[in-house]
Amino acid sequence: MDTFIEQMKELLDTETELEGTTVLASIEEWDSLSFVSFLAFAATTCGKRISAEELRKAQTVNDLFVLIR
Amino acid sequence: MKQVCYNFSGQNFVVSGASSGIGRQVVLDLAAAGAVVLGLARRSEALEELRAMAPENIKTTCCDVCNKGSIETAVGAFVAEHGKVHGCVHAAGNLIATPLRSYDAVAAHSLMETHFWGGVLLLQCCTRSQYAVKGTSSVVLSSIDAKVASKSLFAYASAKAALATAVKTFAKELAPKGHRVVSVSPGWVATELTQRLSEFAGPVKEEVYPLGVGQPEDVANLILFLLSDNARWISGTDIVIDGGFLA
Repeated sequence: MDTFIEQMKELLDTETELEGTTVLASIEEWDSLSFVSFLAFAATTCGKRISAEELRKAQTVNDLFVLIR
Repeated sequence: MKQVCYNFSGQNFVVSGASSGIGRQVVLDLAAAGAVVLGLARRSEALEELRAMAPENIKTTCCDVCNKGSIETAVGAFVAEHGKVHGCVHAAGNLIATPLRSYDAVAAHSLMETHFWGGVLLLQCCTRSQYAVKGTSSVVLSSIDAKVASKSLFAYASAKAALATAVKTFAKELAPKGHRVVSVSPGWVATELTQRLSEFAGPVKEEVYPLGVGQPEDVANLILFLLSDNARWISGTDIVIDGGFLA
């Protein structure tokens, strides 16, 4: 999970402290660009194809982690 | 007495291609304006000579812009010592003839690597929250060769065209954090690069330049303006500086 948090911080290019419970909507950098970046990250780095619809349901950092596990 | 003097004191910039030509002039001018500048290049002797001209303001690191780790290490160390950067200038790259019928593939690919991918890596690094303040200003060097073709230069021209196009996308992606990015397209400027060009293409035809050939200072003047707050509404575009050539 720690690695994932680091990867998310880099992907979002944020200096905010992230935790599993962090609500995505509260992160300034969680925008349409991050959305696309996460889909690419899931496909390329994690080898998981996630649909945009599945990703839209994610509310927290934990939800993102569950998607790529 | 110059009409315009810049004041970049308290600001930090990274410049690639610092060892000669336009890159070197930008480093000198930024330093004279009070900025602290990290000059990146591969030639250590030229870098050392540059650094010695203003050691308080000019810092240098040997670095290959095609290497992401290399850039991160150099910029990371610079930021750790001097604080986050306020922008970067990508002036690295050379010129190799690549005529379609007989071009050297390695040479041709290296042009795209240095000019285009090197620029992408530098921009990526210098706009990360970790290394950059909000509202940075970055400039990449494109070329009028991306607009008007010369025989045997497809690889160089295409790399420069690719940069100018990428800049538009980056401008939109980076605007939320106030970052600006612009490309500059110079005509023939008297540098090592054009010196090499004239060795195989012959001397520049000065008569096509209404105002004669350019000097590195001319382009550096434009770049400093673009790095300054006076250019706060300029982003995602390409600015031609060519002595009237395209007119």
